[in-house]
Amino acid sequence: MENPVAFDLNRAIQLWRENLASSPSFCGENLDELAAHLRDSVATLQAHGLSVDEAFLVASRRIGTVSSLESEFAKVNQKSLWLDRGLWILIAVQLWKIIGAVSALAMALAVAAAMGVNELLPSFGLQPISDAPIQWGVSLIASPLVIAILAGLGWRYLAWPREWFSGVFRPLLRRPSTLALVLFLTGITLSAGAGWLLVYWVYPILYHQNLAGGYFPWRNLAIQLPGCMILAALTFSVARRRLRLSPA
Amino acid sequence: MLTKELVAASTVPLVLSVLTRGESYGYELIQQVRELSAGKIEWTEGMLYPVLHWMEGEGMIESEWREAETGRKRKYYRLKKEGRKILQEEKQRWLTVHETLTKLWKTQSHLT
Repeated sequence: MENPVAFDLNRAIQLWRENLASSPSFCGENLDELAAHLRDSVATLQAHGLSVDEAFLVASRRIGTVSSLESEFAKVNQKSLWLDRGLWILIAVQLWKIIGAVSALAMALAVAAAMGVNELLPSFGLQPISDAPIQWGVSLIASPLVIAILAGLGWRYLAWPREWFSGVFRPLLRRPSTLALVLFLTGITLSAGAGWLLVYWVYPILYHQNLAGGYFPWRNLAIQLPGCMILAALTFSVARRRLRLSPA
Repeated sequence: MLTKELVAASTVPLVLSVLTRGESYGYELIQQVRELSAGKIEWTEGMLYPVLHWMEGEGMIESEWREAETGRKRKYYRLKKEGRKILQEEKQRWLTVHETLTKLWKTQSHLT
């Protein structure tokens, strides 16, 4: 019976290649070489009388399963594997800083909400909530751990974070300077901004502490800047090396 | 069929020996070994490439991407001086094993 959808060999090889490309064990050149092999193998099998889709099936089976190829190539591509791991560690460190800053912003929002509630309560003839439960509540809501758990749940049950990750973030891995710059700017703006917000707004209300007196407004920026710069420079250099080894 | 261990041990001398006939690319290397062994030496095709890359890293062979007459690009491998040296050593080892076994089997003909 004639296949209603014509088999497209180029498309099949491209899909097969993309499937392998998701593993850091292969560099772009490895994939080119394997794809060239697959084409040769398909051509030989076709010459022996197989149809193109049959030839592709047999050829891709003969070349080996993804997991077996992965484990063999990983042995010779150790360096690019370590660069890949290193890059993800650097990204994770910077994301953790960003999560920390987001927690400070959440704290500010929670304080604003608590204040709003406390202003409304007397008009209903109720006593305003005292400081201690607010302090506890705010710190709990704004704990980086809680935010990380919420982010994890969002990742698990919502579609858009994953779409954003594969559509926006993953392509950034191929552009080291943009990646480093985006992480640097997000990190520095959020962490310096969050520090400023905490000192000038949250702590004075929450703990009745006025730290702002004698507090150099740009101190947070000055403290965060060297660390963020070092992380950005490392991210740039690791991402660039990784890209050179695996332009996949 | 060869055992997994024997396949692993014989890949390097086989590749080096085939390349003494002139440069070649992965698919052709596999085909040549299959034909020469009458189908008894069957490699999992993709596994040859990591070995080739390792051999290149060790300086036994060198490679170059070139366009074939069909217009398709292929990576060709060529033997280097170091590779010839290693092939000589490998040859000695395999011949030693071969000769010893042959002598033993000649005197113990019931085994063959």
